Amino acid sequence: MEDLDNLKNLWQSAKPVELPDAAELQQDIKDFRGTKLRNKVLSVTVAVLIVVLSLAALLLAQNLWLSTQAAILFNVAACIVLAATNLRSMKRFIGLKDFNNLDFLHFLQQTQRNQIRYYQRTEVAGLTLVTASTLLFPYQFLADSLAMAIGIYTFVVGWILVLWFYIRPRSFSKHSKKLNAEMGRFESIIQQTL
Amino acid sequence: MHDFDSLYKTYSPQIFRVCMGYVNDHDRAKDLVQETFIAVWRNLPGFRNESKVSTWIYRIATNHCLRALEKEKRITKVDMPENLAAVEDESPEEKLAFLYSAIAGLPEMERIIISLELEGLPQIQIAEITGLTAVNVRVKIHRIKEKLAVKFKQHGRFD
Repeated sequence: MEDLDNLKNLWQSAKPVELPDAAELQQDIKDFRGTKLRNKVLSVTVAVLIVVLSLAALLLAQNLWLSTQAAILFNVAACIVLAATNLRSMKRFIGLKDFNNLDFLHFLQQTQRNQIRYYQRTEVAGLTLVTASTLLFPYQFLADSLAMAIGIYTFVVGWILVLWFYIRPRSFSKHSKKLNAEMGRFESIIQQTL
Repeated sequence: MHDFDSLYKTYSPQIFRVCMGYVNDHDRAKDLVQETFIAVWRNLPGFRNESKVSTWIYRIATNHCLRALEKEKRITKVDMPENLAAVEDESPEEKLAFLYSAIAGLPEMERIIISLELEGLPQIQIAEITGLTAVNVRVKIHRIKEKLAVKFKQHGRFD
């Protein structure tokens, strides 16, 4: 290397790589958009469908006990939380602005904070509603059979305990570690701009 | 109104070099170029010419580079042996590979700034892309060049 001023010439002398042509790329874009949005759209659609079916059941079914009605309403509330969270996340990324690098890093940090809040609060609220719904819903249908009630509730309560005290803490710890590491990295990049 | 095909033809080689400067990995750089132009295609109808189209595309590309960390993809850093004897008669490809390796060893923002500088962008435009002040960009480019000079000297590639 003769001189640093030659770096620019060297840099720009890089041979062009084989990139897909514009038409090929546009096809990839259509596929990418499909897969990217599919999961979010699917979860919102399923949540809306459950809400509609639950409300229909609540209005049309007769002789539903108060416990069953409450279970359905808790389930509806959990679905609304799920749909609202996904819609907010979709809106946030679809409406992404023309950020410079520094603003983009701050945007990513805010996104991480939102995710941590999701795991700390929203997920707990959603799971609490689902737990209440799962405990209340079978009550009406098991009230006549003590043996069945003991069997089903043993299974349901066991599953809820596993969910709350094994699956969720593990998942929270895994996500928290990842998010904290990412936040640390973004903080370190922001420090480089000072 | 900008036409996607012509933007892609004009800017994809430049964006590839900037991404290559950041990740030092051909496949990852190609992926980043594609991700960049996916975002360009998606947002082109909403582009209001508030900045130059090149500034807009470079912003998208460099933001994707920064976010590549979030996806935990490996950024290729090569540990270079020190104090080698002067390397003579290197091919341009070898020189370029060394340049990419040297840049890959820099912190993230410095990689972006020096790639844009080597791409020939005015420092005011680099400031608009990165969000730094023009003065800060000038100072940083000076420091980065010093760092690169040290690396090149250590490896016998700079007189």
